[in-house]
Amino acid sequence: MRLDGQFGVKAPREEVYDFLTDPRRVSRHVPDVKDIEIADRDHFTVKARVGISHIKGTMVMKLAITERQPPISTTVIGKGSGLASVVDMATSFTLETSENEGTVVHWRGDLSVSGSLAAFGPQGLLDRVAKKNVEQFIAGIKSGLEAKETDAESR
Amino acid sequence: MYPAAFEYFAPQTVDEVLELLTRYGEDAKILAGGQSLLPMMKLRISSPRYLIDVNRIGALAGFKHEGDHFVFGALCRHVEIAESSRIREYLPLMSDAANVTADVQVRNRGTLGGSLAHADPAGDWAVALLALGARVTITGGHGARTVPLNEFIVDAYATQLGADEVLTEVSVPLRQKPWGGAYAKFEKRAGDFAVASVGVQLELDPEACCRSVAVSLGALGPAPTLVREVGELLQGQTASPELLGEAERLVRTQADPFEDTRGSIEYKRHLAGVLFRRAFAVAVGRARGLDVKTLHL
Repeated sequence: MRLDGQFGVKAPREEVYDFLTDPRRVSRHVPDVKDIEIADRDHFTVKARVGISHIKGTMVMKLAITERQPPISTTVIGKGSGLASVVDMATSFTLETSENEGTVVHWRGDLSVSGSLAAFGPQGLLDRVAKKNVEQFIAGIKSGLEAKETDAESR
Repeated sequence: MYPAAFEYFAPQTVDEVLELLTRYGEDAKILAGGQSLLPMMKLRISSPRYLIDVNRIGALAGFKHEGDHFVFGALCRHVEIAESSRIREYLPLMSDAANVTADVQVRNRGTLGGSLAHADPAGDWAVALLALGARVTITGGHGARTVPLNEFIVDAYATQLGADEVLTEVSVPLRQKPWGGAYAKFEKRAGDFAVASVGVQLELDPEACCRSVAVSLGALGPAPTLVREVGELLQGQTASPELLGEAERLVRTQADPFEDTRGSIEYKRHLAGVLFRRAFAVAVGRARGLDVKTLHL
């Protein structure tokens, strides 16, 4: 399944890029992240609660930043396991300078799910659940970047 | 397959259930009939740390006919509804749904409240009860509240129930006769979830005009829905072939199914229209006092 979208933030591209390539900062703004372990500059493991309603469980995602093109684009790929299922994902961000020194973040996520979750419900429903989780993730990133703006403004 | 380890409680009263829910919050899960929860636990899609078995709470069992309502305890089993001649007489739509819900084993154990709280998009009960204008009672630490079923279910597998609340009762209003309903379900194999299902409940006046019509759809979107447009179209009208054709078109348009191994979006929309026609015809027959069976094939 492929999902994509874009959103604008009032921050320079370099700042947005720095934020997106800092898993610790990103994870603070993504809902339901329980733990993050940084292995090195490019590799990290995230423990998060995923799912909808009562079909929820902890997923352990091993992630890697594979492409760094500061301050233009970055890609994070990884594999998660939990809920008796395996999730493969790749998310890439491309940053574009907009008017008034703002930045437009274009994102694209590729996701595939196999295991019990894939066998449980109709594919369309699974896609919907995955979409909901990805949208929450993106909304978290957006709010993180906006919170940064507020921090900067209040300084 | 075995579920993950959990701690088991078997409270005797609703108050004890609420106490446990307050203590354990989202880590706890209520076990009613267990016909959805246990398979999910075995698949490890659901792994509650605390399981609260409500089966010993007598106050939640069975159903009763109270004046112009039927009141169902959350623990009322599908089989009780399927085999009741009283339900067949007053609420044939529910009788239809109960008789096509899963298989005999599931019907013997599964409960009305459990099914609604699980909110499976392809479940039968919510569709049937939406057309009937049912309300559910939610009990929590702060007392009980009653909400219309269409507000109770908010999305696929998601309801208004808070982590410290339990569904305790379902109430179905009765209208004056001529009033009739039917539930038509299409499944690929006996006992399977619906590929699509439609509930129709209607009230006629002595001239056979539709006084009110409620149409609900199941497995045709993330949650069962009411197609209000059909009710508005047919209200005060005699169902002519042209009007029924327009109603069928509305049903197909309002259906928002997922594509899966059970069928394509186009196929399921078509099916929605066919099932609507069947359910409507049976509902009209029943409102006129005829003993009509719903065809699910």
